[in-house]
Amino acid sequence: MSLIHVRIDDRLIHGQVAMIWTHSLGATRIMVVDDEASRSDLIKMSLKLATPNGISLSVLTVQKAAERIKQGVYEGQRVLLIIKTPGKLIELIQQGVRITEANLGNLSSKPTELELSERLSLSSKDVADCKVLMSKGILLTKRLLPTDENQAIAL
Amino acid sequence: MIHQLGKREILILKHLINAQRPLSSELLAVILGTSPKTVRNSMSVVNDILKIAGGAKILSKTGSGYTLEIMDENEFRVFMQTFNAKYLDAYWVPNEASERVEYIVRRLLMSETHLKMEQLMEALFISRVTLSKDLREARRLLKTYHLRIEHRAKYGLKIVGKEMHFRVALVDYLDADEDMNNIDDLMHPPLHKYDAKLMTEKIVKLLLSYGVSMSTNSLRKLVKLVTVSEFRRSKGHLIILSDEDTLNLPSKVEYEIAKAFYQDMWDEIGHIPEREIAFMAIFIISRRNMMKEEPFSVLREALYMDYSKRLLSYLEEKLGLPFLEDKLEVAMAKHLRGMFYRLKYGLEKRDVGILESKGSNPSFEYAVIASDWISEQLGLPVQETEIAYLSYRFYQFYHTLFSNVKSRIMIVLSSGRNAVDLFVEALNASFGSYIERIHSAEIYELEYLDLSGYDVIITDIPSVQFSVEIDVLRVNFFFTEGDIQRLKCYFTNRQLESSQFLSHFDRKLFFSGLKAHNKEEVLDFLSNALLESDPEHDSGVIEAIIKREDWSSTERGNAVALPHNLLPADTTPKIAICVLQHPIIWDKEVCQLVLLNIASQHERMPFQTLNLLRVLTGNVQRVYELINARNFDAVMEIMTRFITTYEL
Repeated sequence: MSLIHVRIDDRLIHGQVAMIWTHSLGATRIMVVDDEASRSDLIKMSLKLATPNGISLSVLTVQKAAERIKQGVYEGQRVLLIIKTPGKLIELIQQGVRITEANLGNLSSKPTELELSERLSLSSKDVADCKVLMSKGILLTKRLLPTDENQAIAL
Repeated sequence: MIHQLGKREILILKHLINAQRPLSSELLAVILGTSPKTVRNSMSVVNDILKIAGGAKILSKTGSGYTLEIMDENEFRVFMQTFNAKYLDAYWVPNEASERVEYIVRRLLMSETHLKMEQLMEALFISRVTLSKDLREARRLLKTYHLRIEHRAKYGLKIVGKEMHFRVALVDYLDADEDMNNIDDLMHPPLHKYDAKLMTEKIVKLLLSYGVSMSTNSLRKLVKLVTVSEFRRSKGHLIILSDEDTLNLPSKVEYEIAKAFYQDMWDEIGHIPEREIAFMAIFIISRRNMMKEEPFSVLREALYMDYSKRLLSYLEEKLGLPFLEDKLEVAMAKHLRGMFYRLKYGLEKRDVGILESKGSNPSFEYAVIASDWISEQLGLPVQETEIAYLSYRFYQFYHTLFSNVKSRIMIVLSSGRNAVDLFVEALNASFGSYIERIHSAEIYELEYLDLSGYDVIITDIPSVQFSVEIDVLRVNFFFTEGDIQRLKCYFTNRQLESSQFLSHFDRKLFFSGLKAHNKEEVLDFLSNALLESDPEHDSGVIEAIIKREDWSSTERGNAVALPHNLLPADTTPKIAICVLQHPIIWDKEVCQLVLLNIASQHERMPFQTLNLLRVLTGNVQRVYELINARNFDAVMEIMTRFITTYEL
């Protein structure tokens, strides 16, 4: 299995994710699945800079990411996938990517319907999307650090 | 294609981080050899990137310039860590189009057959002219891996070289970044047959149990190397080693590690060729860090101890410094063990800060001279990274030596000997390492005392009251900031002989507005000027300057080059100044200010003047002032200001 971790984070790659998670997961590639980022040279350049030395980076649209993952291109690699919202993750799953678990990193959706923690503000759409994901049997967690207990969030 | 940060942006960021005051676009333009407009454009790219990924932004103040403002301390720290790891220095970053060059190198490395130029032009949407330029850069890069590009009519391009070097290069180009524009057929699945984390864990366990250590970076490369090796083997590419290569390997601990690893990993696969184990062992030896406290069998490693001794006595003879000491001998032997393997098999280190060492390591010259000797002994070339890496070994040694000019101090206090203890304590606390001994006296005793055994009187009495031959330094009984500064200057100047530094400059050796296209022209011009100005400088010195340049280019970043002779000559030290009309690329870096130094055997420390020039040009503000100085007097004013405020 090449997808070793899925993270929902509207800040994409930033300080903490890059360092702590990549290291503890032994990731060899970070895959950012985001249509906007994949179109912007500037964002891609910034993402590349935020990626730790020696780790490869993919910045792809939802559709392309799904295609590549299903082709088995990353077999043997350890891919940390980052996507901005639960809604986008649903799209990815709808394209046929199999996912069993996702961790909520940062969400600052407005207007906020539900505040799960200081860094997790969910809109009503986020909440609905999370419920959809859960109904598909996907375990949703909100671990800050890799060492935290892997507990399902309750909605 | 994911664009990488360009060299200019990397340098701008580095300068901003180090800046003690705002940097104007005019100053940066001169230092980077470009126009203020280009600087402003790059600055806005850097600013956008910092805002997205760095937790910081750039402030621009009219009239003063740019500064960095950190908005999120944590985020910025992590960003800097990644940034520094990637761009230890910008040395490896080509001046233009790094991502295209990377693509070309990778594509050629992965290709089993010849590639047509047209294929590359199509894939990159570039013209033949642009491709030729990129290929030149690619060749240069591949050369550092001991690989070259073969071009055959009708067939096209292909990389040729030893299998070992293919693999080492592939490690650096194995996993490409990808985005919508460069999804390609380059990723040959299944390239990664084995799980990287699992392999890392196994190797770490082995390294720990055998007491062998290497950097995280080297460990990561070792793991990738296993993957690459399996990939290459599956394509039928085999490592070739001679019997002589493998003769002594099995007795080495690194071989045991390699063997244990392969046995553990590939029990199910069965036979692993001996030479694969040997290759892994060689790689581990070449990347192993032998720590200071690590035991080192002088008997088992007699070969390296012998080389170490001979090398150090060569340096001792050439430089007149006490290199032959036990600690350095062992440390050097440990270094040479890995270094000889790297040189012999072409597995040179790459993650070494070259420009950083050239610009700031005062012991860099020892390493250049040592490399000259090593190269002669082994009959092998030594790459710049190896010189820079070797220079780390001499750093400690240099520092112990540097503070070796100690002062003999006489203390005379207005309140008399009673108060001396406290005063001495304060003095020792700050400057103990520069003090040989301290005595005290009452002021009326001085005319009856023999002061020839003292260097300075330190006193809280106004100095006009003294009529003595030696220096008198007046400070307050309780040191003020200014006193500490004065004392610092005194002790530093004792080391530097600052008046002598200023005497090395010569009005006749100041040139401004020279038109030159490359460093050869500059060196030619300056050589002639030197010979004309003083027939004492025979052509031997000029040859030594060229030889030094060949070993490792003397560019130091900040638009400065500091050419000088390889070994100090029996002549008076000199500094020639040359400001070029337009910036040139010296070797890889921009250069507009050339300070040519004739290093002399009569300096207190070998290369002392050169090292002062290093420090001088480490400050971009000063470089900017020097490049804009109107005449020799203006230059000397800057030099005087520098040397009188020099701090330890």
